[in-house]
Amino acid sequence: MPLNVNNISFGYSPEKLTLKDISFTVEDGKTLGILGVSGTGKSTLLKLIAGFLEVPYQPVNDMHITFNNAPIRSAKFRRQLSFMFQEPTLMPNLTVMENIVLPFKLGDGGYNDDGDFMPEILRVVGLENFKDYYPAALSGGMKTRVALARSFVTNPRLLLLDEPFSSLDIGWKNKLYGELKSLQALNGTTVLMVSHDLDEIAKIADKVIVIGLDGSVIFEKDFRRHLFPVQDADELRKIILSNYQTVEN
Amino acid sequence: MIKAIIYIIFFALLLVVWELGTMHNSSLRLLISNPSESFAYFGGHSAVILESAMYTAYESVIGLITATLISFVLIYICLVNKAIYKLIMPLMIVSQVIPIVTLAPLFIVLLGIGLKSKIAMATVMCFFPIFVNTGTGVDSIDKNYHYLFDMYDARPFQKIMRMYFPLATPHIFSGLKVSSTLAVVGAIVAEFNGAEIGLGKNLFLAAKRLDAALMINSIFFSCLLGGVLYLIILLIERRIGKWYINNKING
Repeated sequence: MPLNVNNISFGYSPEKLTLKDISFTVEDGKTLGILGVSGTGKSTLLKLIAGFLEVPYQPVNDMHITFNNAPIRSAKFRRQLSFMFQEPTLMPNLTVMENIVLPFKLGDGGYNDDGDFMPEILRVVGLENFKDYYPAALSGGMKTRVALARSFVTNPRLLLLDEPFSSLDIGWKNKLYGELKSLQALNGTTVLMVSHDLDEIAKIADKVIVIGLDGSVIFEKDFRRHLFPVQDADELRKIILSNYQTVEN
Repeated sequence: MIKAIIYIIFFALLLVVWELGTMHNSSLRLLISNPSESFAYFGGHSAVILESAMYTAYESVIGLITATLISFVLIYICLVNKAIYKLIMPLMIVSQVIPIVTLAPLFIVLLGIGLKSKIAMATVMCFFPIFVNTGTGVDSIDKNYHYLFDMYDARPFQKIMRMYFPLATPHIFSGLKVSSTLAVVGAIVAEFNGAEIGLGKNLFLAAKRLDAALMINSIFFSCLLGGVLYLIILLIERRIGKWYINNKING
């Protein structure tokens, strides 16, 4: 069953909406890339889908978000969800290993703590030799990889990534694109990824939406394959550049 | 290590200057005594001075612990209900315009001349820095941590123990370090106003009787007490907050 986002608007008054009538569907195991210039509400959209933000003003009655028919904020929805923030959001008092297994220590123990999974996930993010380090001793890229490992560890069915790879070098980016695809293939994970990097989106997205400066979807395309056609990447570039010019003017 | 040697040399020089300065000046010696005379006084009255110091130490430590417990309980209540925090915080800030030392006679009248009034005074002196620093620490936690813990269904107690407390630890210890010395100040100020025993009482008597050696001994042990309490908090911080202490040391 797909992720269904219907008529989502967000703002603090009807005159000033950050997001306007956003609707899309993402099928199981597929990746949606969310593009747009800064300040168009991409991160807000992810937080709304995760159920972190309340909608203070509800202009449309039939707005809803469901995943596998579970409405947002329901226990069933949260159990399937994992979110990676723009900042790593690691607990500074916990070691790398302790940060990765943090989800298992919270709640009522509903997550299945598969200890055998740990060496593998540490290998995937290249932190086998750093598992006892505190975050303060790690580089920015390493912290990102710990956060990524933590978001993978619960085997989520819905993974929301807010510019996850922006602090990584190209080598790690390519490696983790592959690992993300493997995770999707293994668990049928649906991924929503906010990014500024068109090439990144081109490599991993099955579907792309672009949010314009008015907060609405100005471009949507379902590619259903891993390689982004060059002419469409150019088309996206043109749309984004035209938005930048609007900002400049 | 070099810093420690410099400090030792500095204090040794200070003692020598003090000793030499008062050697041939009996009126100055009458007012501020000198190291050898003070040391000799301690030799003759060590039991009384140490008993007084222990008494003041007890009042200070119990005051500090009580203030810490009250602060944590209040912060816990505030975390459960944010409206209470918004209600309490302005009151706390306004309460700081009261010169707390003026409350000492009131505590003596209300709680008597014994231990209770001294502990109450030390508690009141310590409370504000611990409460405000803990509150600031809890307030400054990034929203994403709240989202993260909510996403993983953290229970309220798990949030307090695994999120609020660890992330506010540096702030909590800032408050505790300030309060560790204020606890001694509170106990001594209360003793000034009436006590059976204690360093504050000794200081009061020394000023009245112009007993400079007793005064110097009482000042020395008051400083020592504040220093030891501060050091204990520092050692606890190094144990609990090793993740940020080590980071600070490593730059």
